[in-house]
Amino acid sequence: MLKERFLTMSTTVLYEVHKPIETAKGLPNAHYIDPNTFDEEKQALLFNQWTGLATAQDVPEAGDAQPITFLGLPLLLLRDKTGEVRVFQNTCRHRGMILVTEARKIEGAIRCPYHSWCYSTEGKLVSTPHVGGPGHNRHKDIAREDLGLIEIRSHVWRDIVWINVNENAAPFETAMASAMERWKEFEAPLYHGGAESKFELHVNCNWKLAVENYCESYHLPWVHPGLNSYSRLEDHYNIEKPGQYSGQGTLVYQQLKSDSGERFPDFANLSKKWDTSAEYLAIYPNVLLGTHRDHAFAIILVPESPEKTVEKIHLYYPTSDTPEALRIKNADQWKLVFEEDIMVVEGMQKGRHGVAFDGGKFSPVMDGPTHCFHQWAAQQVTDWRQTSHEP
Amino acid sequence: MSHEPVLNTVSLDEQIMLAHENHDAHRLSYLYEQGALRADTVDSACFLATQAYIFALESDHHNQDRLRQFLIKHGREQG
Ligand code: FES
Ligand SMILES: [Fe+2]
Repeated sequence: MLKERFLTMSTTVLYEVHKPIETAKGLPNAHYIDPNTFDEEKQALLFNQWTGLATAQDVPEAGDAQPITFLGLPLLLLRDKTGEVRVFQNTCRHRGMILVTEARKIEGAIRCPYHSWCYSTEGKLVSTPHVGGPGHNRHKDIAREDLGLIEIRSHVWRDIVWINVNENAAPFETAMASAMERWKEFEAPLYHGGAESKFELHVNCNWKLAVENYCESYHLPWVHPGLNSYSRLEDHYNIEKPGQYSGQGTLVYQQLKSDSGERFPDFANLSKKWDTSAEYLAIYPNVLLGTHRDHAFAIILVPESPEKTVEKIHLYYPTSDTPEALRIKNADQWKLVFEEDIMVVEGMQKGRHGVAFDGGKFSPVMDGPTHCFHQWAAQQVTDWRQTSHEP
Repeated sequence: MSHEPVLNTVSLDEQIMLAHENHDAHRLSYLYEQGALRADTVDSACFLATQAYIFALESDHHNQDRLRQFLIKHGREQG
């Protein structure tokens, strides 16, 4: 038993995670605290998947560029001159200089600050000054068409910019087909609520704990007593789509009202069911989405290290002209809920330094969405190891 | 947008240094082109026109096509 525990620090034992929920255990501690396992998961659970990077509204206009370091990768989020959002590796093809160091507007080309090779916003290498000697800007061995910026596979859905770093995931619409189908009634433009509708929470936990806490409703009466007073536990249902997402839904969603009775407008053409339903999906790996008749939100979990995560939260509305005071009230309400969760995700993180913790025992009734996520994670890690990437 | 002429009282070099300090690509393009126009050899003109062209690309300066054509004519840029 002890021997097995030591072993888990290099290559964890996952067979108990694969079991049915009645007999399964959760992911071993190493998956939350061990740097080597974090690196393994970086490949298996993040770079191999469609992973949330940022939001498209971060770069609203053509030429807007924002450097982002994601899991150590220097990336450049950019809206090109035709209006398309793209993600590039933020590294010059010449000597590997970082190209863009702060968010700004690219007026014309991206000029490398080192030797001034220039790239178009579509990533094409457009000039190589003095490359053939002073005043000679071409050379037979410099094939510009082969030296464009390295583009990272990306896709925008629900304003999230998703990336597949290892370029091995199924096409986005295939990989996300089930979630897209489930919420197809909400396939409409989303209007970001503006400055007060975005905030970040810095939490001392592994990113997976934020997923696990988000997708279950078991904790609501204890951690969110305010929420539970109008949204009782028995009005919630589990959502489980093995290998793709899990979460929860409520049957008693009530719209927020201002003191004068004002409400947000609804998304157009929703079926009756959404009058009082709302759903919350953790799209594997790191994007948490919520949708309601009159607003939506997205949380991108940015893993910073095994025990540190940044939650980037954005709220969206069906139209561009919703009442500001109500938007602020709504953002405050959600912020309170998400802050209430910090205590438990940080507490679970601390708990995972208890060396005798065995991954935990699931409630077969209440923990289905969590177990669903663990099974997905265990499967991805197992597949990754089997493709001979074992350290 | 700076279209002011090169002042005689301050040398072109000094103005170029100042524009570099200000990271003013648009002005740098203009100034280097002035330098190219004054150059007394083709090599020196092409060197300065290259500088001007690069800052024109960066700042989307209207002189970029003219500079590019000049460089192509002298075999210095891809056609
Ligand atoms: S490193 Fe970018 S131009 Fe040399
Ligand atoms: Fe919660």
